[in-house]
Amino acid sequence: MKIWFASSVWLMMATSALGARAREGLACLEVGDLQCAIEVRDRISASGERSEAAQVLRLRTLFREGRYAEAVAVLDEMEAAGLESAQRETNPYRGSHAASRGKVESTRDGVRVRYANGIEAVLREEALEVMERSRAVYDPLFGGGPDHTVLLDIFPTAYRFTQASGLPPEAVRTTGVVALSKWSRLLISSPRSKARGYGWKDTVAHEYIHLVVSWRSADRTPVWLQEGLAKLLESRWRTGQDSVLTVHQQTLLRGALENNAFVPFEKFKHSMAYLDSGDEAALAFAQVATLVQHVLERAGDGVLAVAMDRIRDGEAAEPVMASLAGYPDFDALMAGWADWLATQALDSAAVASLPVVLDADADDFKTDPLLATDASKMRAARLGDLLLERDRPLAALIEFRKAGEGDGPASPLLLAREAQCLAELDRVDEALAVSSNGVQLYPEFTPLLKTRGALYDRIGQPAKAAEAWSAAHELNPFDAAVQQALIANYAALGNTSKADRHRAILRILQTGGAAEVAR
Amino acid sequence: MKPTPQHHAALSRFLERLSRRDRRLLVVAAAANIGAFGAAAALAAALGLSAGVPVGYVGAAGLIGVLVGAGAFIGWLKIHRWGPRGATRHQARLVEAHMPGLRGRLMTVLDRGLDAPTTAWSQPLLQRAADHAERAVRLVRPEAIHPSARASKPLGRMVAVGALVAVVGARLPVGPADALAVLFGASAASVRLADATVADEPDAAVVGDISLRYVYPAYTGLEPRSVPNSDGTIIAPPGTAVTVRARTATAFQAVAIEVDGMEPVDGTLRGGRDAECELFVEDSGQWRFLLFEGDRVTTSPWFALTVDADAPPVVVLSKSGEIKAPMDTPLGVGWQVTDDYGVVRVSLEVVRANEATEHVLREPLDRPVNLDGIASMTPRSLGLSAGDVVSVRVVAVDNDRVEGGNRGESEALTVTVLGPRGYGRNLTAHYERLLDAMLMALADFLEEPVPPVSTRPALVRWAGTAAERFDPVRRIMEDQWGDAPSSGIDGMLVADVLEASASLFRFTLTTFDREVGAAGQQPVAGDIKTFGNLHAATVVELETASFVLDTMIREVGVSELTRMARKTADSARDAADEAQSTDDASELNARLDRLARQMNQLRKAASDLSDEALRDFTNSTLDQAGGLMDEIRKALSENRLDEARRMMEGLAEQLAQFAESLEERQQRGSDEADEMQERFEALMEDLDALSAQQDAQAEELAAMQEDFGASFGERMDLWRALDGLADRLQAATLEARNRTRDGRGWRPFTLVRLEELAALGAGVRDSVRGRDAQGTALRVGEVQRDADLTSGFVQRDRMRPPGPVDGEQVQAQVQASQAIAAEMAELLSALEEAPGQSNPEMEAATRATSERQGELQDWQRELMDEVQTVEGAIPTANGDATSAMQSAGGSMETAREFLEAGVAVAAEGHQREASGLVREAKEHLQQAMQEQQQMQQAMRQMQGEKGGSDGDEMANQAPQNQPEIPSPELFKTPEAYREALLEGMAGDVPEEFESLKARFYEDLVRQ
Repeated sequence: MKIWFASSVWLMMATSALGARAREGLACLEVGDLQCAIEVRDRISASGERSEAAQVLRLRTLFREGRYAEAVAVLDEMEAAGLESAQRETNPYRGSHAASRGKVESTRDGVRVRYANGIEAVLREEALEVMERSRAVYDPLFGGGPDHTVLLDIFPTAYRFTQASGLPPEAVRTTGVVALSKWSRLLISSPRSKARGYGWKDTVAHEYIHLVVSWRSADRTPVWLQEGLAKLLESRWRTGQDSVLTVHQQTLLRGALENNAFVPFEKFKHSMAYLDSGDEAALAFAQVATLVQHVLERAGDGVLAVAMDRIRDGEAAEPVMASLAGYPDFDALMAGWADWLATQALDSAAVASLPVVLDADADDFKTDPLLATDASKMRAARLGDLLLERDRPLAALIEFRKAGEGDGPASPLLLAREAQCLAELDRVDEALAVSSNGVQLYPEFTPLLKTRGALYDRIGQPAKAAEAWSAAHELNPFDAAVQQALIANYAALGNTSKADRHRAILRILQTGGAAEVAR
Repeated sequence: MKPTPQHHAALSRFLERLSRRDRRLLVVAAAANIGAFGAAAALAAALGLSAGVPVGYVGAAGLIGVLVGAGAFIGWLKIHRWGPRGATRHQARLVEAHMPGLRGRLMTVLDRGLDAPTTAWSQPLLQRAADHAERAVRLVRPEAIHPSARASKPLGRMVAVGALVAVVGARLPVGPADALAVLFGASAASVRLADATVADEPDAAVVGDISLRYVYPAYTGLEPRSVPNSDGTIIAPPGTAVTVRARTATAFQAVAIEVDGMEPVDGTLRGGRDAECELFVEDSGQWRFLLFEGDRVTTSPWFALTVDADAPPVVVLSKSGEIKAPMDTPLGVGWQVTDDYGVVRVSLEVVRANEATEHVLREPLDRPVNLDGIASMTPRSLGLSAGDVVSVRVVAVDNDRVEGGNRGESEALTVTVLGPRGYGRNLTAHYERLLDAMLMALADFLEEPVPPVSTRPALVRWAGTAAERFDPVRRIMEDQWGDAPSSGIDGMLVADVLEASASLFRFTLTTFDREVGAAGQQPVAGDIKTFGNLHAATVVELETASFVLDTMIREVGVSELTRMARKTADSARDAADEAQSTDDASELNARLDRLARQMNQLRKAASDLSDEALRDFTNSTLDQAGGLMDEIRKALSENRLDEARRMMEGLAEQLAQFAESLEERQQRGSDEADEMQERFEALMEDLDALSAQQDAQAEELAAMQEDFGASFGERMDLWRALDGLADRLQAATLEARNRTRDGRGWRPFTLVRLEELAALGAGVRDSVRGRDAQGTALRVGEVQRDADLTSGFVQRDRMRPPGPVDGEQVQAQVQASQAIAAEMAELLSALEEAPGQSNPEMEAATRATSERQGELQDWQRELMDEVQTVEGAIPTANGDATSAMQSAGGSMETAREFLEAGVAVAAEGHQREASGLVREAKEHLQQAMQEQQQMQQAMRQMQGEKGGSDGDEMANQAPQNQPEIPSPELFKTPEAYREALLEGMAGDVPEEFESLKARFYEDLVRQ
């Protein structure tokens, strides 16, 4: 903050009076201080200044505030005036405007959630809740948070998210990026944009951590640290605990450790979105998360605010983190981390990243890491589905198991289907064991959770069923069947408040969010 | 004084009366003579006929008699001067002669009386002469001039002759009057029969040595035919003249033939015993000989006479019952006409609303007895419209001139004409039914253990019941396409499945049906292993078929869903826009109603999708949209128009998002397909290059062997020749086995022999490829022995009624195998004699090439992965390409090992084998791709689109195994016909129809 302030003052003194104020605002934006920029812009607007810098400031601040229509109007104006800076603007102004059509907004203390009118309303309450709790948890942890109302922009489809993010569609499809913390706001795709949903709440928290870290460090925190912090801490808002690595991440980490095949930090110094594959991204996340975990284990959470200050004040992140962790330099930190990692109990299982499947690309098999890449296995799985549909569970089971034979990672879909077949064959215990293994390997694979919920329903265990269905809801709240199951189970457990809550969500789903639309 | 006209008239009248009497008497005499002559002739004829002289002869004699009589009569008249008797002068002369006292007065009066008066004659004298003549003639009676006795004599003779004839004739079996009747057409035999005494003992006449000679009516086009040693049964078409010859045990006077109580027909009898009769076949019945001896008639036994009438043509169609025919697709109804004597016209009769129209299919130039073809006209060309339900039959008319052309009709086929969309729906429903049936069969196979039962008899029983699993599949195909197999993707899939299962059942029936000895009822491990492999092969084919069908149904379903989603989204957008400008709630409600209907269609399309995720996605979106619509209606009913407008905007937005998502999915699918196509093409080029390089390396090795010694060249030539023969041997043994189909009609051990022979054929090929002279010789010897034995088995099986189908072809293939094996044995002998020792220089040179072989192997491994990926992406592929590529890798490895060992001959063989296998992998991929194109074509049809890149008519999926060659009668000259065919054949055809085009050429050459 100090540096920002000094630079602002210097700017004001060194430039002419007219341009200086606009450039002051732009400098605020450079360091991620939106509130500062807004104040400067408003002052300039009040003075009637129409300089090119002032126009640029207006354009950028409006865009960061999520006022896309106004931003596009300013851009049009600049283009009409033939301003050169209009050509240099690379932000997706028009894309964001197009992607935000038909959206509505809900605001609470310090947070705003913008979502598509209609059924996306099912996200509103929980999105506000995540944002509020994130601010409450992470702002103190990092020694403060943004002084402006933080906007969470939820896009109903991946396509619209891509439009608004300005990311190349290929990059989105390769790495499955569904959220961004950029331009002082958070952008995420609705869980509806992925075939089976995703852990969108932790993702919101993850992006919020980026925003806080960026704001606190004047956007000087390198990607590795950003991602390490976000990944490690993304679940604290709801559990108070650090995130646990998935079996998949543990497996990748273990493999990298054994083969010394870590992803070089250099490779993701600009963004995780540009890594080659989902597996590589997963390994990179695991690396940086465990590195941060190692630092925090040695130095405690209190070092985070200190680190932010030191980085904001110009120190490089690597020595800062090393020193805070008690190492003489970053190399020593890395070596220490590797030693520490070797002591950790890392699982190893043949699992893989879930393929990126966006929007209605809802082919069952494309969401599965095994079946998406092996046509012959996919063929057997498809036949299994057809047989199961025709009430031939035994034959279907044989096809599913045939699909799962041979090399390759475990298939979450096949595990789910196998459990279904076993249940149909009244082999419920086996089915539960299979689904349990599946959930452990692929906690974000909704069909497994649904299968598990259905299995518990079948044997009349509402508490466990509710747990499984709830986990499915966390990933994909748009599934009416999940909501119905939760209503039934919570009702059976006497938890009327939760039952009512899901009833409200179901109502939105069933009416297409009519009440929201009518507002 | 001149004589008065009264004198003259009186004289003339008198003389004319005389003339008339004269002539009358002459006529009576003539008639009497003729009568006598006739009676005598009749008697002669009666005598002849009674004596058994053929009617023809008697008739001829009678005719001669008549002619002679007529001549004699004319002569007689001439002699008796019929003409002069009419002249008055002649009569006057007779009167003068009778009354000499007239002394020429009468003649003078006649000559001068009427002439012009002349001065030369004295009138008074003439007057006196006239008076005298007149008085004289008054005294003469005509009877005196022409006495009646002139006629009474002939009359007397006639009576005498008549009496004689009557007396004699009465004693004859055929009387004179009967003889006349016979000569005028009546049957002598019937006459004789009427008065004859029939022998007491019926059928007493012993006839034998019967021979028949048929002379067929011209319309049949049949040549005359003789049947010696006949049992007397006559079978012939109506109008046939049958000459029956027979020999009687005893002599008779006359013979006739009687057909079923009709008037007997006289025959001839030579030497009293050799009978010959002729009859014309008209109706079925029986016939017999009537043998006459005096007034006694003896009959032969009755013999059958069967009219082999020109039956109406038999017309058979390839389809039956009801079919659905697309508007612009050829009906594809195969027809076959069979007639006993020839077909003149075949036409397609279409009956719509009791009104029939006929469309000529063929009017052959000759009169073939068998004719077939395919009714390839489209419903549109028949003047039908989509939705028409018509009755269609093929009608053939034969060349029967007796009845004027018999008409044969096929069974009526009910044809429902479908528009493109209707046909698409029909096809989709057919594929869905087929998929269900396939999946049920697949489930049955998957769920049972392998082997399903543990004892031999139980396995045999299992084969019987398991075969029934495919009955629904067959029924569905028959329901859709009739008796002929479909040439479309479904036909191909079903054929593969049935072929694989037939192998399994054939093996089971033949292997486990064998007698077991002390080993008991337990099947042996080797057999169980083979059973397992065949069982697995059946499962693979069922899986492939099911997957391909499902892929088609699903992709078409998603495509349809996407199209409907866009339409619905557009409607919602229109409704939302209209809502902004109107306050008319009823209009908006009507819009919502329309939208609701569209959404219902959309929901139905989604419910048909066998894709849980997509179905759920669609249903949840539609549920949401439906809920929103309810709210809109509520708002409209409560006059909350602004809210309704906002909600309609929201609804439009939701449905737009849904449509966008589906469209993007479609686009991605299309992009992926394009990408896969590019990879496929690149792979084809790479495989070509790999096999070419491997070939080049083998050639190089062969050249090297030439360089190091001419004897190697000789050996290489022999091996090359063996390569070709080994391929042929394998093909022949395999064909012999495959021709047994599902084994029906064959004895189990014959099938086993054929299986073993096929295995030996494959073994020989492997040995040759490995350049293993000893192994090859051993196996070739086995083939020779086994083929001989097997041929005997096959021969015996063929002799057993009813005999297996294709027995002749199996025999031919076994014999061909024998011949090929013999040829190979000769080459192997030559190989043995050819020097083949290597030398160190060549071994070193051979080793030097192993590194390059290794490089090719590396490339093969890379391509192997690509083959696997590309093959996996083709739904119709079944892994054959990958298997071939794996085998190619194995051969390359073996070749490399031989190269490292310096063994050039064997290395070259394996290199060539590897090259061949790489090409095989490529061919498998190409075939799979072609099948995929068929699949895509079927999908276009399911979507109601026209096939072909330029909007040509949809390709017919109906049976079309034979290319249709235009009828010759459609062309004016043979040259025009040939030209048209050549022009047609010169055209390009899509790759998948190349084989059809080739068959077209072959058939043309044969024509």
